[in-house]
Amino acid sequence: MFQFTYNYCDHIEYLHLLAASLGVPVKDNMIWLPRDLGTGYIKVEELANGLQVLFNECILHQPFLFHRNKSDGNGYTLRFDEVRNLKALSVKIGDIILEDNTAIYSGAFLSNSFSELQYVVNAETEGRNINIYFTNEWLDQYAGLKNEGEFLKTALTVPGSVIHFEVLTLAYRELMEQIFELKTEHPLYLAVLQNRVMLLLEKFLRNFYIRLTDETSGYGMSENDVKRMVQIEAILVKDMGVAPPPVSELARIAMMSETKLKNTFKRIYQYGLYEYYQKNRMMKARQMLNSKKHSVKEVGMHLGFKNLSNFTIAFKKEFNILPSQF
Amino acid sequence: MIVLSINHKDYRLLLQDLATITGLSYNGGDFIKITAPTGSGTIKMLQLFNELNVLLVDAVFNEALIYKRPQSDNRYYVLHFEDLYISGTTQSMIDDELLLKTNTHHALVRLTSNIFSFSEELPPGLHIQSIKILFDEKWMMKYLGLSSDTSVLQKYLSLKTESFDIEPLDAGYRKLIQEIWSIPQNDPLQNIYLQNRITMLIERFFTRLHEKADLVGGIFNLTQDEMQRLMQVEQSLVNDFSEAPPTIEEFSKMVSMSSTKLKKSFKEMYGNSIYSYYQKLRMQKARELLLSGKYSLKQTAEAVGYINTANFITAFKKQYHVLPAKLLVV
Repeated sequence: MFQFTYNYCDHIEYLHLLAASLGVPVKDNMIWLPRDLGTGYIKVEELANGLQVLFNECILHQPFLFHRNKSDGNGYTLRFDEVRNLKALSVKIGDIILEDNTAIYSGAFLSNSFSELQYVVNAETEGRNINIYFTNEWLDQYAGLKNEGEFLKTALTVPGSVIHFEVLTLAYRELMEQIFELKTEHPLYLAVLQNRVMLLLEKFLRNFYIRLTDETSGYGMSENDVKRMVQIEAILVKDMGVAPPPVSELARIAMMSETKLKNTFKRIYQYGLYEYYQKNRMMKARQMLNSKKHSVKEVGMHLGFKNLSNFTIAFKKEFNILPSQF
Repeated sequence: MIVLSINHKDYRLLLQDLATITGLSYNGGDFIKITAPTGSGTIKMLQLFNELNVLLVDAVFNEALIYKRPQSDNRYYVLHFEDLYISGTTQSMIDDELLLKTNTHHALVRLTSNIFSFSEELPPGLHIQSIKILFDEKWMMKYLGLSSDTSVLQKYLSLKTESFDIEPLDAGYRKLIQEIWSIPQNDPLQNIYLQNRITMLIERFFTRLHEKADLVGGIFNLTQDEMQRLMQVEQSLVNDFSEAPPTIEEFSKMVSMSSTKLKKSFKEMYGNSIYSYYQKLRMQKARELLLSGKYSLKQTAEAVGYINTANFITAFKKQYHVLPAKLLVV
């Protein structure tokens, strides 16, 4: 198992500490994982408005223990994760320990420098994530969280507070996708990146604020139900080339009736089960076509369409444009 | 006649100048109310934390308005988003080039700079709806990685008045502008919200400028006159949704262009075919009406030209993937 312990700091410093511990060089604020640990990269970009964003895409070859000590600073990390093949997850935040043996985790959460954070993930975990780092000063200066916003800021600063967890809805996934799709050669690379990062942050803070102020909102269901829905969502987006299990099967996994499953899922993710699968599938299609590496036929086949014209129709329905025109 | 002569970057000073000239009351704050006899409406300024100066104008002046910026070496840029129904004539002058626009709908995005002197004369009674974003070279380098030497930008600015009609205010811009105008008061996230919409407007303009780099180089096969005519088509399309728009044949007659050329050029300029563009904006309008909370589903459907509410619901769902009734609850 690879273990890494450090004191909370900004992303650039973190990247250098991690690189030193792994024995790999940092080039242009980017590192490649050594073979024995995993395959993939970690990269940091400093945005013109003072935010730091760290993103990585990797597959682990051995378990990884991440341990972050609290520090005197006043930093925040907003993290968005898309994870696959995670078998068990144990997270410790301050004194709270969360263990989950059925963990299939995709979500967003905010942590701060006032609490310790530790987690262990198993080998073969595959994922990508986006971490946004900001400070109290940044909230004052750039986010302008004064007056009405002061209250929001106070809520963010509570030490050791429970993680502000959000499920990864389609709107988040779309923004993440746009960030990972963005090429450094884009003439407005940093501006586009900054705008997407800011939209992620806005969306998260907006939801966080709504939940703080409106008692009746939130997901209006038990934590356990939310967790099960995250699990179901992960099954739906696991492999776009294979039709998702039937609702009866999903209901069995979620240990609830089909009706309850359908309603609960829709409440959190805003779309019906199949609709949600289909939307993600089309997003994947767009991404593949965008990469210019695949023909329309290849994309259709990869996404499990036996009949190409069905793919064309589905794509047109989603984006109002034919895949061939894309 | 109101004459505003500006050689600074401070919109607060501009509001002050306007108050001094017209005798309107102004307390040094973020906005000025235009009242009789000067006119009506408001002008609001925003200073965003990433050093952008923004002016939001929704006003009518009872006198002609002249706006002048001299050429200066302390370089800065203004990105204008304008939606004007011109009755009478507006005059714009960039350096030594004069552009007149008479009785037309002007819905455009354009970038000006004080590399050249600039002046504009607007006739009395004109309803001015615009957003102006001012930034300097330093900002442009820092946030967009563009300098005044960037060739795309140089080409664009050197077109002077010819650059005016290159970028139409299309559905994508309109959506962001609508969101900026409809910001709720006391929103604790107001700054982030506005900042994000404003920077998205800027991103869109510059992204499209890059995409159209060929056009700026002169390879584009539409003349300025043809672009004007296409804007006329766009204007009739979005004018009134309660009635069916003219047919392609009627449009084709109206702007004296073959229907094939019309369809092709419209798509080139606005990125959508005529009908899908119309439909997009129509649904956008419906969404706006529903969110205002003042209209029922049926009223909204009628306002955007649906006699059959069920058809409206289907069309709305198709675009927004949500039933229109859901927006009513909010």
